[in-house]
Amino acid sequence: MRAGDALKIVTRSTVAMAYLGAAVVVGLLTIPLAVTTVQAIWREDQLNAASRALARGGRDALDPLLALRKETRTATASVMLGAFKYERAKTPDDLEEAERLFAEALEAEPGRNSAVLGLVSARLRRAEAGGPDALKKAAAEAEPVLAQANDPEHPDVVYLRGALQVLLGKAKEGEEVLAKDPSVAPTRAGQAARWWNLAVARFLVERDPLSAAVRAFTLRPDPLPAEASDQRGEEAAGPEADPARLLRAAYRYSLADEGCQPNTPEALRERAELAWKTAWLRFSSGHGVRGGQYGRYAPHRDEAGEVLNALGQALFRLGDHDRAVTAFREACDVTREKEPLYLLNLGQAAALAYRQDKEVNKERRSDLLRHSRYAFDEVAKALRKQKGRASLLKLAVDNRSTLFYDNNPREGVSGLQAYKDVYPSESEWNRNMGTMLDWIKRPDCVKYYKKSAELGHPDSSGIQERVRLWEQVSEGKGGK
Amino acid sequence: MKPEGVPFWGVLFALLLGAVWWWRSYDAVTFDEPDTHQFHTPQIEKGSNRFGRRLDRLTAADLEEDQLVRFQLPRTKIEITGRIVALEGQRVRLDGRDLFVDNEKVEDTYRRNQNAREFYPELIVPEGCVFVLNDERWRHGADRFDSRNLGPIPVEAISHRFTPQEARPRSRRRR
Repeated sequence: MRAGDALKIVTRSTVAMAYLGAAVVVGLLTIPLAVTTVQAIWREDQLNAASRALARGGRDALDPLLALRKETRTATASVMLGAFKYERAKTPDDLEEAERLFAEALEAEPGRNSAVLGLVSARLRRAEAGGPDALKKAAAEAEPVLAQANDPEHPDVVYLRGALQVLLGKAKEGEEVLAKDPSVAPTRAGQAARWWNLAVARFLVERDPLSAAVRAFTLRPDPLPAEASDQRGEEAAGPEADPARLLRAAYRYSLADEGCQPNTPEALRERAELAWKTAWLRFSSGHGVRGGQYGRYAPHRDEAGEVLNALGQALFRLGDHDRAVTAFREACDVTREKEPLYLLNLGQAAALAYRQDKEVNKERRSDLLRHSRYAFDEVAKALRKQKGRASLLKLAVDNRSTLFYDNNPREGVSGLQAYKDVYPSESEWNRNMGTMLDWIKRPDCVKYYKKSAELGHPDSSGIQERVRLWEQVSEGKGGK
Repeated sequence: MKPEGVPFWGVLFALLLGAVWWWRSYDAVTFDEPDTHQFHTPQIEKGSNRFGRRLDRLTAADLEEDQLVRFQLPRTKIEITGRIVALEGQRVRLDGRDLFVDNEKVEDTYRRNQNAREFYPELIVPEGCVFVLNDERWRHGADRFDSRNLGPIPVEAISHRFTPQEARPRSRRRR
């Protein structure tokens, strides 16, 4: 039977016509529905692929993002491509391109939070190149844009508002906004920006920035490549280096600067305890360029000495000399070139811990003595060839001899003899030598006392008195 | 029931649909990364195979604590494994040997080789992210390849997830 004949038969039957009509209606309804569903699935797949590529951060994310924007022309596609451009921006032109994409998304969907946040962030970052005035101007202009956000209570929007206040010079108000915990989770970038801006605001209002800076450092945008290279934060270009710079400054300010508020022993102890936990943490050893080095919460091994020295200073101020010695000793050990300041701090803290800390046991006391002698010896060795460092050298040699005054004066005498040629004041050296020998009851102290008096030591009268007493003793012995 | 009463085609169609769903949802994953990137023994060892649920169509809400996830290191092609310990919106911190989630100490049954000096400051796990840790916490290099160094991991970076049952070693599963 031909198709034409079949159609003729069907058109004669009313029932067949009804079935055919129903089939056409169902077809007309279901085919577009099926096509739409398939298209939706395909678009969702494309969106998934693009968002995954964006999250993974590789260069290969660009193609799926461009394809998504070309196919869909939605605000989502523009925001995602804008975010990709923003994260990888190296020049003001890249930022301008990102800004344009965010603006396009905002036009397509007015008030979209992610587009508003991206647009404001890109504008601020572009203004950074123009200096503080340009940044302040951009912050003032950004406020009305931020006010367009659909969800003004979203933590990311709230924190960006706080950051704008900091940029506009209202650091106290900004700090209050940023310090409040959110009721819902912010995004990763929003949270990182919150801690970063909070640390900056706290620097400006002279409050402790350390806990915020540590958190900002944990959320830094690209942790792995930084740790896989041995490049120092200060030398690295671009914003990747900023969290390390901020962290370094925060350690120094919070621990070693007396202007940091609150300046109470309890607050300082809290900061020191946090630094005690973070500053020691190394990358686990064995793998990677920075394996085994300080770095989980420290900028770079070259800066670890500085951080540990600041920690030692805080502990020293708290009277915790024993732990201060541990921090100073590590600061000295990790520093490639001997740093006299760290060594003097170590020597001084160890000497104080040795004399004052009643809780330290016998073994630890001998350790402390050893640390102190090492420190003063190293300072003297390091400074003996340097000009213009006489006062520091004198301090180290004097401290070294004082250290052994009551437990091993012979060691003190040998130390003084070793640095005779570099000691800056001859009269002072002779006086000290006389005192040490006097303490161990050696009559040759008189020779040094006399020499010191001859050279016009300011304490000549006291020296003469000791000489007179020694001569009386020797006369008495001679009489016998 | 008569044999002809069995809805043969219906069952076959259902089985076919199930197979398609399984084929679209699961992948056979080989953990072929070197030991220096693998910190989940005895559950996972180099060269072992597991069926993992693909995360293409799943969201953060489909992930739970204790699940193992495969994720890509940022800006690399390297995939590594981590165990979820906290989800989006939870507060997480590490202090010494203790893990705290929402200020409560968590019984961390999978943990091995923890360092007594471990520390991670309290953070809210961000929107669309999870916090992952390696089981062998202080084996060489372990801290570099989990959230202690990488921070919270975006769900989009996760390719597969394995429930603790799915990730069990085969020798144990047979028992």
